[in-house]
Amino acid sequence: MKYLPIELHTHTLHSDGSFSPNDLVSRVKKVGLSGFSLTDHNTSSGCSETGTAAQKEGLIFLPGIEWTTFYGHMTVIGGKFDPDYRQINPFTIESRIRLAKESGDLTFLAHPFRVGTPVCTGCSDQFAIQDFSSLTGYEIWSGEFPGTSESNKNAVKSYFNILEKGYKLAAVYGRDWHRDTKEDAIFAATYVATEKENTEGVIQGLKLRNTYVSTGVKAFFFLKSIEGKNYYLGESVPPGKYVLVCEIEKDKKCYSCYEVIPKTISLVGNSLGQEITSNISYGGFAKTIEIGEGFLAIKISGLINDIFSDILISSPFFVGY
Amino acid sequence: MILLREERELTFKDESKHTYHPFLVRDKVTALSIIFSYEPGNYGGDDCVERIVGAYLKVGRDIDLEDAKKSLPVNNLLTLSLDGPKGMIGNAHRHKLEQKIYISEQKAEYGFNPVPILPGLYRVCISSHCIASPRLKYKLLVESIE
Repeated sequence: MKYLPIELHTHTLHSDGSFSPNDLVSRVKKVGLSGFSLTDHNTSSGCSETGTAAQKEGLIFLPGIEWTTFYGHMTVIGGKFDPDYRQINPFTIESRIRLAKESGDLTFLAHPFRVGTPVCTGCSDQFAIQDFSSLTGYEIWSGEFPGTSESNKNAVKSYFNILEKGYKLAAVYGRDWHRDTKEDAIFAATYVATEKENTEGVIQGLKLRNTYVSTGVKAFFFLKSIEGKNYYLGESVPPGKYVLVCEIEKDKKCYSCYEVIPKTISLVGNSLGQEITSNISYGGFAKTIEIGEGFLAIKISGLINDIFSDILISSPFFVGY
Repeated sequence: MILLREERELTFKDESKHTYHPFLVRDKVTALSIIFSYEPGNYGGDDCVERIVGAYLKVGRDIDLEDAKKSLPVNNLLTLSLDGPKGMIGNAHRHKLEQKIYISEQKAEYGFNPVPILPGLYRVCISSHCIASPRLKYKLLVESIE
């Protein structure tokens, strides 16, 4: 199993991006991502050309679209289900997400706490979804310097609230990549666990919710039971005593230009009695913990280019369900 | 040949609506040409500040009036989609005040799929994502190219 850095939210001239398909592919390759999804607003007309360009550069490509409605945005990855976005509203969104799932596509609620209309039209989540059972994941991070943004902090809180209700959602990042930015801008990637380094492998990893969002740090986490069995992010884990094993290293390929210094690791979620925070640096980390029913996620914080920020947040282990 | 010509004026009451303009293609043609424009592109009036504050509050954030004014002007946004006899042909979701969209079997504007322009009922849909200004006018012209 290998974690690959993937960008799940991009745009081209086929909607309101500044990039041609070839431009986007060259940007993705330049920053060291292993692959990306094209999610133009309400059109997939660019997917064929972009996919061909991506393949030529050895990048993994996920066809997609962003349902861009008056009530919020949803990135949909897989390219199988193509509803009329004009019929998507708070009354129909849950059925559309379910139909997308049944078709094999993955759905991610995009930038739910970004300020909406009239500042960013339709950007904030006004869908008022009640049943999250068909949704694949949640953009807990979006945009530039994601570990410091107030919108993202609210998105993370909301994500944890949804998890506390017993839903299982993958934590993902979306750059919402429309155009070039200033040279010193800071971004993240969604690291997806894959058995096969191809489109199918990444889609499977997202479906299994074996992901974390990170700026410049690669990590590997698992819970080791007393019997010696390993459990990975996104998996169902029986309650009990485990050793949480973490290995973290600087990503020397993807967004490698940032100076990232991890300082603390926090174990968060209602599976623990209370949040546990320890000091951490690059290398290995292990801690014996007792976990009850609920979710357990990992957060790493520290310095990114001398600014204090969250560096990594994982999808959780789902304990007892 | 002109297949559709429309001019409409919208107000805030028309926000978050899809307005459909049907037209008929009687015989198979080589291409469709659509020219779509709207104005004004943005609005900086103080009466918009309350909406900006409201947008922040909806996502759990406070903002004072002076900081809210820094978001001015805000953009109006109308987007265009096209349906043909066999379903949706494409969508132009862009912040461009004038767009020229050409669609034929061989090539199509970004956002649209190249399709043969067969006889049948078509419709242009104008989606009003944001109407910040008191008035917003759009113009639409659809022509067939033989």
